[in-house]
Amino acid sequence: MLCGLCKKRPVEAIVKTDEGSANLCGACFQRYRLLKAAGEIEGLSDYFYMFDEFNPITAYLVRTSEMVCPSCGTNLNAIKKDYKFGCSKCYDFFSDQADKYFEELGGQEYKGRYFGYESKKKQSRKLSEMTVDDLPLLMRKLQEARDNQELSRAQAIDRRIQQLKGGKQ
Amino acid sequence: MNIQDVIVSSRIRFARNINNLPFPHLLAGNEAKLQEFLNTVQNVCASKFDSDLYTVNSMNIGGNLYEGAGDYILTMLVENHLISPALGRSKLGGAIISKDKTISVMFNEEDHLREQCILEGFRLKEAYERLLEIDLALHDKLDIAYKKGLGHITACPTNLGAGMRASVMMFLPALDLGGDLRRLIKKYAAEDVTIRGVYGEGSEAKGFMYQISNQAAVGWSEEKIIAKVESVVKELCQLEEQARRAIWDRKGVNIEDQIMRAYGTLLFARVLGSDEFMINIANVKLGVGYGLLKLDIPSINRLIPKVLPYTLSVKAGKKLSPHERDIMRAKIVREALLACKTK
Repeated sequence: MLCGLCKKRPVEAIVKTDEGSANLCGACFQRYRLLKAAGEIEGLSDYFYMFDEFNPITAYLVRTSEMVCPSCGTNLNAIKKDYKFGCSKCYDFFSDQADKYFEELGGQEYKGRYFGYESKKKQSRKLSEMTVDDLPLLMRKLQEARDNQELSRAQAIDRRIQQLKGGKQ
Repeated sequence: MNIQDVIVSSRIRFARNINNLPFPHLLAGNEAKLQEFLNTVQNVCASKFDSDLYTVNSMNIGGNLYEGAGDYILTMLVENHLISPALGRSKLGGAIISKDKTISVMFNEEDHLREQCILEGFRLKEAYERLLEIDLALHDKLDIAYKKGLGHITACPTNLGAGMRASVMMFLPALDLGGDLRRLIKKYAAEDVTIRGVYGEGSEAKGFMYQISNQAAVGWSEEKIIAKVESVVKELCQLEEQARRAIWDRKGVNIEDQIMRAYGTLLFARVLGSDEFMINIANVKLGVGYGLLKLDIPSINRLIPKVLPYTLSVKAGKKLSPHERDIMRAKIVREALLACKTK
């Protein structure tokens, strides 16, 4: 399903308010959150009005929205100003900028140790091999499965979580 | 000259971030995820070492409310190299510090995690191995951000790659006084190794203590970083030894007089200022290096952070005036020097 506002990106969040609800993509949701926190809008109707095609600032906002990281809401100007990315996904979203910095720093590919390999091996174990210690990992996997709408996988993970919480190994 | 006359301590630091959580400067508004992250970090640390938790501001972690540590405690931790000065500016920051003060896991400094292991002497590899154990446990429980080619993902691109800094704290009075250090700083900077004063830039009045560490090392492996820093440290040890010999040849009895006066001051002073202590303790350490004084250098190195201004106030349990601190410092130094005599 596409975002109810920009109609370009897939839905990542559902905003429920007294005025009704809206399915939004990550970028539109982050922008909604930031504008609301800044007091620029009161609720969803204000937000949707901003993007109404008859609103003169619509074109500008939609254009700049392309430059906002859908995960954390950081824009390219902020990255350039602070020389800091906003989250790990910024490195994908602003990959041109990341590549530019990488080249400036020598552009040498990292060939050191990736400590996640051992960890990744553990993460790829069967659900039945997971123990109570793995509950945080299972909770993450459950969220991922739900986000990706993999319902049967989510159900299986949820079942294992309930078993472990119920004391069954 | 013994290597321990020159090398004070070795430190390894890892910068790590997790996926699906904005970097610390954008964390506000993500309290639920932050809470989960901090609980996991705290549980991992608790499984690996006994620790104390300090937060910059009041925070709820694992269902427990932690009062902000306050400026005195935070500055004391900075003086002891257990946290960075930048952590004090982080609203959601804090640190989990092992009881033996060798491990520190800072959270929400510039990156989600800054893990460090600091050991006395020249033990970079051992510090690395010890920290690795904690880092692997964190990798098991957290979704650590990593991208092929770039390496470990960090808020600032300069820390990409291994996300690792290897540092060695060195006592380099002869190179500093002889004027060679400025040239060496430039030389090693070109090789991506930085030399800076531990207690402030241009720190000749602050004990001639310098930190040697890798600069931006994007693409470097952990082994390469350690090998590079180790080779520069070994070179500096040799150069320091040569410079000390040159000073002795040039000054002879005058340097001996300077050292013995410094030792006398520290043994008999009843009011001892911070700068005065730093200058004199540096002379005393030099005296041990020349074989003029029989004192245990590691004990002296442990003494230095103990008599820094905020550390003294925390030890006293109250805010001390500068004069009260100077009196307390004189007493501690006197007792410590008498206790660290060797045969």
